[in-house]
Amino acid sequence: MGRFLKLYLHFLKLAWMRSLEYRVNFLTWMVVDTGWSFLDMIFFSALINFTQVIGTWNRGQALVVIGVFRLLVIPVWGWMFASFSKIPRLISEGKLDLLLGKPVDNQFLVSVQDFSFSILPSLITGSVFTVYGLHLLHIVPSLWQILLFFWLLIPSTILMYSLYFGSVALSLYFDRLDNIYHIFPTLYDVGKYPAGIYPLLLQRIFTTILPLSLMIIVPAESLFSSPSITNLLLFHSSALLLFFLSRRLWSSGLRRYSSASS
Amino acid sequence: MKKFFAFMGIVWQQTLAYRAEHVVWFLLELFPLLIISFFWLYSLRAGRVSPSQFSLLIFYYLANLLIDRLTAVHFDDWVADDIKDGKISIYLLKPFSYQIFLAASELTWRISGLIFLLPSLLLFIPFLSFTTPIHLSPGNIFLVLLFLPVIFLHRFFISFLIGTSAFWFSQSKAFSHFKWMCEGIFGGSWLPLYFFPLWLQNFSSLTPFYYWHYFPVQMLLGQVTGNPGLNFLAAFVWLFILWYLAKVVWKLAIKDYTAVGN
Repeated sequence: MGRFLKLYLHFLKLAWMRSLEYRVNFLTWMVVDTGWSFLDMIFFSALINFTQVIGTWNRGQALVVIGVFRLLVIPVWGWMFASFSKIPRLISEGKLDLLLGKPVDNQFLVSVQDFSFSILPSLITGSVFTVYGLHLLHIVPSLWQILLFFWLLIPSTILMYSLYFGSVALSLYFDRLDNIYHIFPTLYDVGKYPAGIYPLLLQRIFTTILPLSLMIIVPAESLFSSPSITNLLLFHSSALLLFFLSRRLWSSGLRRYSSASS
Repeated sequence: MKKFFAFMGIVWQQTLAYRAEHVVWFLLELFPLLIISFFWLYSLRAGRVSPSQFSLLIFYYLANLLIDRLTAVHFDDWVADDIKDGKISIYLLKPFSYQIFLAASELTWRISGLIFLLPSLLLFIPFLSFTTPIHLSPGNIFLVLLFLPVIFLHRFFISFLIGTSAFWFSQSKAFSHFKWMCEGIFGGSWLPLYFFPLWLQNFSSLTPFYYWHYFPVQMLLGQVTGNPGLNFLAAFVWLFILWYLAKVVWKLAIKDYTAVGN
């Protein structure tokens, strides 16, 4: 475990050096990230001004969800997108063996290739949206709620990682699927809405097989309501199960992979 | 024209060979529209929107899906990659225009996209059962059909400008994000512009993005605000500006471009 952590820190350091090497790009992407935060806000404000509620959430609750959505954009876009977007091309061009030949777990290696530090404005905007949402709700979370919230971000990240990595691993099963890494960030938007807005069948899918509705809502709701033990158990177990499944999908897909003598 | 059709033939074969990628591009356009349509269906059931508002909204998203499928241009990313990797030299050395090649290839992707579009319309049937009939005049439909090439060319030249900006900026992909943001906020790709304040709607009509989503749907419905003739004129002025910019930028770019190998 210590070895993985040491390696990951090394990769992060490299990513940071890369970011600072191209400072204008770094700043441009920071502006892009801030822009998306504000557009999320504008979009939701326009919606809620029209309907007064988003599903079952009022303005404050919706704002907390948007805040958590922005916070979780950091692992999705900053870490996963930056690393996973390289995988399909490595596979289709037969260059993956450059990484497979290294004496480290290959899933770990392909998963930590890059980190985009320019996503960090989302930390500020996400926090501001969350705090402002709680302010509108007149809620001051207890220490227990805050601890639970931070804890829930971990299974949430595992869930997102598993779904995202699983989708990217599909490129091992096709001749060329270079754009598959765009699918999860698009599906990530499902989490911005309460599960109740979907028909019953989709609700079941989004809370069990593809728990897209849980990954943002469970941590967000822990700040303004008390999550049930059953839901928390379901949340944790689906994170572990999907992690296991995505790993299986990757390792069995690797058996189909053939190199292009890179 | 002979070369144009030859390119179309080659790209047609590619679209059939890489069907999986094609499906992914299509899903990326379809998912957000389905998610927001479910939101409106829930709002209808909760009495937050009237049946007529719901009908107009579903029509808006459905029409946008069709327009998007026929006019969207996605080459900015790979043109930028080709420039950065020096692979664009392959095209520059051959006796054909790079722009013609791009246009033929995008047009073929659009046409072949109809294969996936038509069956996917079945997914909207559950929504249609809640809608009230919307009467469209054949004249308006004809005008929109005539306007589609203008939208395609707008999007083509903007993507071209974004892609070719890679000659000067190493991370030109950030501009694609600005384009998507502008499409959302000025073009109405997420929400019809009447959800936003009047000043924003007025400002949007001064941008080319306005003509990509909101304007054609309003034209179909016969609800264009102001003088439609002036809007057409503005769209053509934008087309001329974008064409001219693309021409100048390309001229400057290939003048400065140097590559080794390939």
